[in-house]
Amino acid sequence: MARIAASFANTTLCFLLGAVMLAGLAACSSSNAGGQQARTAKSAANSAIMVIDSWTTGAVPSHYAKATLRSLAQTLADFDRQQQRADVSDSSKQSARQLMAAAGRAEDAIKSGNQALAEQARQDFRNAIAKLVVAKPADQATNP
Amino acid sequence: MKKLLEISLGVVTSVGGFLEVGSLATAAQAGALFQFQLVWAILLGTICIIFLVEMAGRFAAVSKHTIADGIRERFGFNAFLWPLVSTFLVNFLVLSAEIGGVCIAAELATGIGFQLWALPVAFIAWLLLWKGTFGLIEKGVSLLGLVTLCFVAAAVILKPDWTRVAISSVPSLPHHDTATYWFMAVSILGASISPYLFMFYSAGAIEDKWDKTYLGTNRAIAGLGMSFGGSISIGVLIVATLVLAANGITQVDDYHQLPLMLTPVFGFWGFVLFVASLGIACFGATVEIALQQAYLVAQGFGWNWGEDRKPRDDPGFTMVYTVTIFAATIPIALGLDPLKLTIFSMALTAASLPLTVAPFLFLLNDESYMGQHRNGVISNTAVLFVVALGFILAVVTIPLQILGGS
Amino acid sequence: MHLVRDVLDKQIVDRNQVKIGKVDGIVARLRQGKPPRVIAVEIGSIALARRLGPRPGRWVAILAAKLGGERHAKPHRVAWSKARDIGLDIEFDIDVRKTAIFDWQVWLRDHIISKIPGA
Repeated sequence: MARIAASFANTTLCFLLGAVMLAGLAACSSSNAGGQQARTAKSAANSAIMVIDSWTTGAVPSHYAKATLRSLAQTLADFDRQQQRADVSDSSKQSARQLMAAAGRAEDAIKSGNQALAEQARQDFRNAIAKLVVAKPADQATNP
Repeated sequence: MKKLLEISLGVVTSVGGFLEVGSLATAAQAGALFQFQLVWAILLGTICIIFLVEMAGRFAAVSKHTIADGIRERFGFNAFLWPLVSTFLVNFLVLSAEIGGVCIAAELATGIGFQLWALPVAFIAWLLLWKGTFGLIEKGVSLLGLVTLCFVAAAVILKPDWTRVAISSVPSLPHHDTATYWFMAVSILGASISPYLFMFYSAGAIEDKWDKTYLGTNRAIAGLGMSFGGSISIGVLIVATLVLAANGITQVDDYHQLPLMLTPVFGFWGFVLFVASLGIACFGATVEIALQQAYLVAQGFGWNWGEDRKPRDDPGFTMVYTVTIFAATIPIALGLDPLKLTIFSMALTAASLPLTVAPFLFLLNDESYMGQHRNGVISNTAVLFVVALGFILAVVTIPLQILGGS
Repeated sequence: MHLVRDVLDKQIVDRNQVKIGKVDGIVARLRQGKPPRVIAVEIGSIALARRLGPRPGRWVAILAAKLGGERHAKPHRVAWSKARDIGLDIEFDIDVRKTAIFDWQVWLRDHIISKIPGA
């Protein structure tokens, strides 16, 4: 019986602790939705570049490269949709468009086995990423 | 000599069976976004699981009861219902995630969508449980799981700044995305301190007929096995940092991104090793968790149980793992994203820790069960710490999931 | 003997060391001025459900009767006089095959498990 009482007291204390932590977290966390989306797009674009690289060197099978680029293209299409509607600069909207176009080009390249087209898509990705607005330090590719 | 062999085998099977979809996914995400910073979370989780596994083994060897059995007997049916239901539900989600992991590996290898693999994978796992013995499952599948050591190899080949890795073994505050950081820490802890791990270990100790002479063996296996296993998780984090983050991939929210961790290091063999690692590790976990569900119910209700028995001799036990495995395929077959399911179930595991770990405090200090092998100060401190940690995680998980989860 | 600590929820085995179940309930006769006298132990879902409350007990009893007939409308009782050895488990001098306790497991075995090859 005493044990049950002790665990109830424990639970209450922890709930209080949790509430304090939650308040602290809410205070510190910067909910930067825009930054989050840019990070998603950047990660997707860089992933696409890695996939193209792996595919051209034969490190990954074509069906994987195709499926991955399809999935990444969808992510970039979502990003483009968000950017076109958002209150951002014209160059940001343009970058989003370019990313989507690069993804489409990469998909075509893999489907047709065209290495040159893949290289072009890769270059398009690089250009578009460079123009993407970098909002937070997390987005920078660091070399630990 | 025989004990040395047993220790070696036990360590090897612990290492081979350590990595599964949860530890893989959480380590990869953490490495991509926070580089080495969350190494401490993996270390902390590993230290906690070492203590819990050692206690589970010691409890089984001395009292000849499994943990589940002990909880029912010591606390009565009404109190047992709480850990039973919560563990069963959490295990179900984790089982689903592991099946998802195998299905992803199959999709990556063949190009056939993961949804279509759900039933075949479940069937093969079920067949292994139906026909196999405990020894075959424990040792066979875990030995194959040693392929996951490729992550350690990759981490070493990539030549990380080991000083920085060492510094990250001490907790630090994040410089960005605070909520996400703590959510990832919680998920990593949930992935490392999985209740099915130590409950399965205690059932295994009974299946292998351990007694008091195995206490030293138990300590060695728990300590070494879990440590080496934890190093594989850290290996995944290091690889994610040096391959993904270094190439500008800070967000891992698509399972297609995962093989990219190993392809720059091993080329085509990297792809193969990744698929094999994911597939085998998750398959092993699938079999173990399904078995653990059956142990939980059978031991809690006092039915006949034992993986070495023929199914006709323990129909209740057999039905539980059968129904459980096939029911767990439903979310995957329906197309639920396995990566999202994994992260969610890891966080939920962390939240349910108080219910499954609190009993350890009582069971391991009970003289009638443990005799002179009760917990010492260190072990009790460890359990108290994990229980306290568990309570905090339980309270914080859901708000964090909302604020920082993907 | 401490009933709750040493008897309740303990594993029961029959004379052939087959695990029957756990002590899900205890039947005792209350006596004036003397400690209660244990008459029997109860095994099974009805006994368990009763521990959660009188209503769950009734529901499970109705369900059990519907599925298994009148023989299963009441919890399984084993007379305390048949208890032989109390150690890790409680051994009772009965043969579980002669009781109705395993009826559901037998049903499972005959109707489902045996139909699958390799059982």
